[in-house]
Amino acid sequence: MSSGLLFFAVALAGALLFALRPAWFPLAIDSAAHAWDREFAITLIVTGIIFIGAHVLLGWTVLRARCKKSGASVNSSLHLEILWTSATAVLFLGLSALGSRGWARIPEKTPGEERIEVYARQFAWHFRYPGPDGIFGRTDNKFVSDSGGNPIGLDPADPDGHDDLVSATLRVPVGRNVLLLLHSRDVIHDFFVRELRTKQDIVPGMEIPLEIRVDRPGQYEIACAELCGLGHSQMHSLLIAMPPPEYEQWKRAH
Amino acid sequence: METRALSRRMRVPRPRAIVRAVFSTDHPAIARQYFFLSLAAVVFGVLLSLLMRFHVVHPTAQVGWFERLWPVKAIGGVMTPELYLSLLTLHGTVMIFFVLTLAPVNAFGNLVLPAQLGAEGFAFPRLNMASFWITLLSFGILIASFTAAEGGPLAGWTAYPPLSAVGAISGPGEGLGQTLWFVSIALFCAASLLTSINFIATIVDMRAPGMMLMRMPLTCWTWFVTAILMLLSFPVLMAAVILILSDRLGGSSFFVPAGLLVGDLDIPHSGGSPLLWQHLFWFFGHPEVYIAILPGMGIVSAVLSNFSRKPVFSYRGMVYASVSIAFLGLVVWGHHMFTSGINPYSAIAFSVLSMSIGVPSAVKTFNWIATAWGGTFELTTAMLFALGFVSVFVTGGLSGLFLGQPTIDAYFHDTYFVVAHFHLIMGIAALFGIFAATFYWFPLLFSGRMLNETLGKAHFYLTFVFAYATFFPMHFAGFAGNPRRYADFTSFDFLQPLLPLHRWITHSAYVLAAVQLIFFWNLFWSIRRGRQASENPWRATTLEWSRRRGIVVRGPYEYRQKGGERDYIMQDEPDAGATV
Amino acid sequence: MAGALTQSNIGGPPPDIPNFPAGGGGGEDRDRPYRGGSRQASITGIIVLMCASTMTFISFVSAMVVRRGLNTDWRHFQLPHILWWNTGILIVSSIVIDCARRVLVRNRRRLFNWLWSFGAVLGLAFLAGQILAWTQLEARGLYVGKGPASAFFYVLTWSHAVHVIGALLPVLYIEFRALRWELGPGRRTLVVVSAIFWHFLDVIWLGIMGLFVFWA
Repeated sequence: MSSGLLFFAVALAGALLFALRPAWFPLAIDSAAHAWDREFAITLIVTGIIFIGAHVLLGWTVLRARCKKSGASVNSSLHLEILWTSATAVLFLGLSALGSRGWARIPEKTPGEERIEVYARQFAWHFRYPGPDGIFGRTDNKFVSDSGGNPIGLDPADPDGHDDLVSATLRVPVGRNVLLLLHSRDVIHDFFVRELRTKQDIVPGMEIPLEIRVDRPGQYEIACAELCGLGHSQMHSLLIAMPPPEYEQWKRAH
Repeated sequence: METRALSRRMRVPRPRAIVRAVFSTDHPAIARQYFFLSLAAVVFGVLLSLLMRFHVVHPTAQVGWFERLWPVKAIGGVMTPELYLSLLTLHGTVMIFFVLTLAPVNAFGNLVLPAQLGAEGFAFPRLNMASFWITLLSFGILIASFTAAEGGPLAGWTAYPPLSAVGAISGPGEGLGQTLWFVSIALFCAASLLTSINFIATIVDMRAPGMMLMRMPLTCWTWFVTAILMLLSFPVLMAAVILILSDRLGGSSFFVPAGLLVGDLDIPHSGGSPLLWQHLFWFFGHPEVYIAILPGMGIVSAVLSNFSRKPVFSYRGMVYASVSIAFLGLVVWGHHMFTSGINPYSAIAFSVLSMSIGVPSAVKTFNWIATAWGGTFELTTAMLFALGFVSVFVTGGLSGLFLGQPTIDAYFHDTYFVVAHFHLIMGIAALFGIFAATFYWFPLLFSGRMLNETLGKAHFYLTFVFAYATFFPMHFAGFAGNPRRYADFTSFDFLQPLLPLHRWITHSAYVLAAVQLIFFWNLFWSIRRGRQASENPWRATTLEWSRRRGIVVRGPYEYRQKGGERDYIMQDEPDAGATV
Repeated sequence: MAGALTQSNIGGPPPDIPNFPAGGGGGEDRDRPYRGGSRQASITGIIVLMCASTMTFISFVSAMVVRRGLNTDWRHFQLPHILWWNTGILIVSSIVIDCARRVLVRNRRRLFNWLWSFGAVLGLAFLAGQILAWTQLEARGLYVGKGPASAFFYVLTWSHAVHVIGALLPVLYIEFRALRWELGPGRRTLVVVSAIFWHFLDVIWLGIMGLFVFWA
């Protein structure tokens, strides 16, 4: 008896707790994140129905049997099998089709977009802006000096790099496309900002583009989301989204 | 000295009894050896996880005996992040390999497979014995890796390069510890290969007369497809381990690109691809999780059928579903790599295939419920665990539908949402399958005794409740974007409000672990003093319960609904003698 | 007829043994100890093993394909001439071993011994030749850490050599039994299975050579 009720309890508890889910998610700060929230909601409704349905059915099966009612039972039914196989196929593949929209877009250079380089290493973040000339200067490992203030290894001999701005926080203009170019100098890291609802592994040896566009000003935390060593949980930085005039002012001032 | 005639010419002295017992080629004895090995492994793995959970909620706590155990990595009695990460690595490795691969496949397969097929024994008994001892050696080397000078490896059970490939410079424990870890894994691959050869040859060639493939019990089917999965996936892991050991020790650059600066050391490798490791690893890694769950599914089918006194609903459907799950499991590995930097178009292909696995899984779930529907229940502990399996499998499997969509996965990847998903499915569902098998086949494992049912039921209810209480809330930590493999949460503002949730999880985990003591008490008491079972205590139809050793004349699961004592017919029971 | 005790058949239903093994198991109490499956089972077993080995080599080859496409640092190198001799030795040893297998079926045990010994010697010669090839390559400055092409060469040939050593163990064990006249048409499962695996290693070797001659 109690085992049947147990399954009902699971269904109920699960449903209640999931109804509370908006409380857990951080604010969505760009249009992609809003789209994510919608997609998540659809999947949650589908899986929620299946979750509750399966548990109610399971509980009912147990209770029914224990009451010793010799009700109908089925040993095999081709109709039922075809029905539930095709229903799940349509449902799951439909979800998949929904989820794949918008995924296979390789970021391209849109005119007027900000390009910012992101440098991850054990265990800190650095961000580089190209400066007024819009060109990133050359870098090389042999110039890297964390204590000497050159964490990304800017070549002092390269004039394009003289106006490059290296910052410990990522500042971006609100409402404009930003193309992040992700680099790692040692192991695999991952650039993760919860409010953007996306993350991207940073693989050493590759330059990986990530397009973002923040619609709300504010400060958002950047975390590393790929195990990178003993300081993995300490790689903290901030994404600071500022209105464009403030942003331009900040760039000029540094 | 006894001799035993091997041929008319050669006489070999027979080894002493103790040697024969220890190096036994007898499959029930080997099954017991594997059973106790995975029991030791699970205790070890659980203790590691409790240490991890403790640290997560008390990152700065000073614990005297930490320092005694780990003088370098827990200096002052405070667990360092590198110690946490090495505990985490060991936890994953021990649980996935030495519990979830060994217990369902090796322990119970060895116990029951030949008997269920009506075979005299396995095809290669000595290979079987060798497989156990290689596994034990592998376990020993794994422990050694953990106790090496600078500590155990901290790269996780996934061991992604370059972190795991460039040596000690990338972290404490990444020197000798990581190398020994790779050696242990290579040995485990070899042992698994021997097991899979044995299982496949036995199933293909040694079935009793009349045991057609479509009359095999579903447990044999799941062991069959599991053995094939092992055959196809473990060699790939072995190849990857050879390549990475070559990078570590031989100076090659299969996985290490050029221009790395780790710490302040320029790494001399060049031209390799870290993604290559991920492809090879996950080509193994995804089938591995199906290896962990498929035998449990077979056991659940058998147990649900037996204790509902009804045939399995759509035996054929179950067979096709098992084969589909295994086949699809081989082509979906990319879903572990959606955010890794793979081609987005291949990500879509992997996504569609991954979501498709939900279809045979759902078919199985419906079939289980339909099997139980309208049955005359006997709610034994094994039956409770089988029903519990269905519940946890549904819960854990549904979160997979989120993770199988690349855009949604982009948020949840490497967060506690994934941790919830795999713990519910592997840590709980697969474990419930193992518990069900233990209660069901205990008389075959330990000389005809039965486990105590009262203790068993108490164990089930408490485990069910506290397993959900521990792992379900992890979904919510995932919603909040809580990254996984974090030694502590002190560096991030957004993690502070989650601490009460983590304290709940930790305390629930303590209780969940403590509750397992009921099972251990039951186990060790019943081995000695358990109630003696009758010949076929569960009134089952499959051959492991039969003394007849005759020809197989019907399918498994021939239960009838007429009630009374004889409501079943065994597979090898001649028609004339049957009463209905 | 030679070879009274065979492994080549399981006859009829097994004798009645107690179902709950007390401590040990059913195998030890009977007159005839349980030795495992039939010749057919052994052949299935070796086929399964070949599948597994194939998967390992496929993994290496696919890694090689990926790696070659990734960078421009792939440097072809000239294979040492001794490898061609080794290839020939391996092919001849395969032919010889197969002849030996057929001859054993017709119970010509003396001829079998000659042929099998010759095959075993050729197998050992192959291994020696491989070692020589590796030393020659290293003398030319091509070791495993020097560039991807040579790294893959070492990994592939080293894995193949490990398989050859593994195959030589039963070959030598058979040699030992054959010299004591213990084998015959009814005791030839290990011979059949070893021959099959040896031919498989032949094919793998030809694949590796083909890969490096025509592609890498």
